[in-house]
Amino acid sequence: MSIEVKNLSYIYMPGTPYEKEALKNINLTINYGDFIGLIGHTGSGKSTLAQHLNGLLKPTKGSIIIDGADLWLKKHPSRDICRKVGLVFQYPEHQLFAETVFEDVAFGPRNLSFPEHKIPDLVEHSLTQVGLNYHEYKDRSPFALSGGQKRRVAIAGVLAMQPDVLVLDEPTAGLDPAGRKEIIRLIKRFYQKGKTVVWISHNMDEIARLANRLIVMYRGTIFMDGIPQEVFSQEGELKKIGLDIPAAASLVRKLKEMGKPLPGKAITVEDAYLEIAKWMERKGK
Amino acid sequence: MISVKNLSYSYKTAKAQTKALDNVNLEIKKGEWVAVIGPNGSGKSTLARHLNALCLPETGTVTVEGMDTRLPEMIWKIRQKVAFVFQNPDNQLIATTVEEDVAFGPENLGFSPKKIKERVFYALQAVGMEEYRESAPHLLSGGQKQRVAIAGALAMNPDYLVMDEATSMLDPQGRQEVLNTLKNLNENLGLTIIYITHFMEEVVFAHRVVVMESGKIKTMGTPREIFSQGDDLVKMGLDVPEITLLAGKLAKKGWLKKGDILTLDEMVESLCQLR
Ligand SMILES: Nc1ncnc2c1ncn2[C@@H]1O[C@H](COP(=O)(O)OP(=O)(O)OP(=O)(O)O)[C@@H](O)[C@H]1O
Ligand SMILES: Nc1ncnc2c1ncn2[C@@H]1O[C@H](COP(=O)(O)OP(=O)(O)OP(=O)(O)O)[C@@H](O)[C@H]1O
Ligand SMILES: [Mg+2]
Ligand SMILES: [Mg+2]
Repeated sequence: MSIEVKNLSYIYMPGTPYEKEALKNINLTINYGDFIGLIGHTGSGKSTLAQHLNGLLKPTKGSIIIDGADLWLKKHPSRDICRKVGLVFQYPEHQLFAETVFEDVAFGPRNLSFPEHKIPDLVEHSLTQVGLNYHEYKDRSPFALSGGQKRRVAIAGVLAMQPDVLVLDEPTAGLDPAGRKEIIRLIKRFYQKGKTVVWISHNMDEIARLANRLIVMYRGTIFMDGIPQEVFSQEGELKKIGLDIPAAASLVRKLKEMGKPLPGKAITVEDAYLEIAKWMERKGK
Repeated sequence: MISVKNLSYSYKTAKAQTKALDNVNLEIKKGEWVAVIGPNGSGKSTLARHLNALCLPETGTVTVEGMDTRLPEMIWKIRQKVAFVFQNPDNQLIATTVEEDVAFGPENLGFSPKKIKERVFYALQAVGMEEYRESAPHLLSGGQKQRVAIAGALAMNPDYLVMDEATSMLDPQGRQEVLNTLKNLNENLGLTIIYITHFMEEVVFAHRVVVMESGKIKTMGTPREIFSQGDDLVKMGLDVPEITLLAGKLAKKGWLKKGDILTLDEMVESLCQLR
């Protein structure tokens, strides 16, 4: 099963002075069980693409096909689709709306007709998962929170809908390092249950650790699509379009260029350590 | 100099009261680059908002070059000196075009039309947004909004610049460009920078790091001093830069002379010295 993006183009505010073609004929298949890292320079179209995957934006041209069915064949995408694909917005403020944290997280599941008696447990579980104490936060206004706390509530709200596919738009921006690790662990567990993740990020170190497939966008088109090792081997191309390679990759490559005997292939700190360790052990002999 | 003395602050709502700052003392010298780190909810933004009178002390004082933020007649002068970039750019973008938005600060400061033009041009170029001059700020992508918000602050030619997670959504190159611009302004024009971030890699640029926890300043020091206490940082929910983490592991094995490495270049140098 899969999500197919076919010949997708999207134009914001067509026919006005603000008209902007944000996506240009995108073709893409997201297979269930993928962990996709979606990267690209500022304004390349990542958020616009993300909002097509759960029916928030309607294609100007082309289609989104989920499990063989065209999302927009009828006037409105069906509720089942919205339930299947959960989207965490780039700015939590765009997602939060209720008077209390409880109501905010409960909104999605209620809307999907989850039985009312199950809602409190579900909300508690979701808040706990993102590192917020249920009793401390449930009655607070989601707007009277710090930036990172808002982010956590927004993620909890989407998790509570128990989607099969999670699309996360820069989910770790604003989180402290411990929060970032918690969310990464959480999403990894979600993925290991056989679910699908699309993770948008500007943090190359993070994405190198997580994704098994990288999609690189450039000015509304798909610029590269491949496994992380392959994509990050194209340092020059990536730098040309505002991106970079992970710090660990820069390190081993620099060492290799200087003639040190290591493969220079690592993209994570863990692998860089292994490369350097091998080199050192050989040298020690 | 900005001077924070015995500062405490609570948010009060009908139902609850949250203590956000608890007796904070801090002096920021002119020309300094101070990074502020700390877990979510530790009071960083609240402290930052006190530096240009967006928040007023409940107890204690904040003075900017001797001007007390509690005096209404000083607020205007203080805001001329201290520019602020919010954690969420939506809180700060107001005009109908990018250009007008960036011009807003300089106009308010009474700059001449010629100077306003110059400042706007400079600031948009510094953040790589010239081609969006005529776009509507609220119709930009997340990272583009952040760039415009930063331009708005730079255009004011401030003496102090407070950046509250202002680069959290920039692509790697954009972030590097902004950091280079700030470094240049700091070194050559003496711009004082207060830089809040969750990215430990960005902390390395600072002269001094302030670590906050539960509304208090937990510790202060140079980046090297702070990151040498890696275990304490992790316990607090913070971390060290990726490169420092790797250096620590290599040093434990005796493969590096010193583990307190902060940048890639230091790491390469240090690995190559060993032979
Ligand atoms: N508008 C508000 N109303 C009520 N409480 C608030 C408000 N803003 C922040 N708080 C609370 O004050 C405390 C400090 O918040 P602050 O925003 O200063 O933290 P922060 O260090 O900037 O966190 P983050 O890293 O998440 O941005 C937190 O406990 C938070 O919940
Ligand atoms: N509501 C809107 N109206 C008009 N144009 C828009 C709107 N939202 C985005 N755009 C434009 O569409 C393009 C793609 O924006 P999008 O938000 O998808 O980028 P992104 O890759 O998510 O960028 P970022 O990394 O900055 O979040 C940008 O050039 C942006 O200016
Ligand atoms: Mg975006
Ligand atoms: Mg904050």
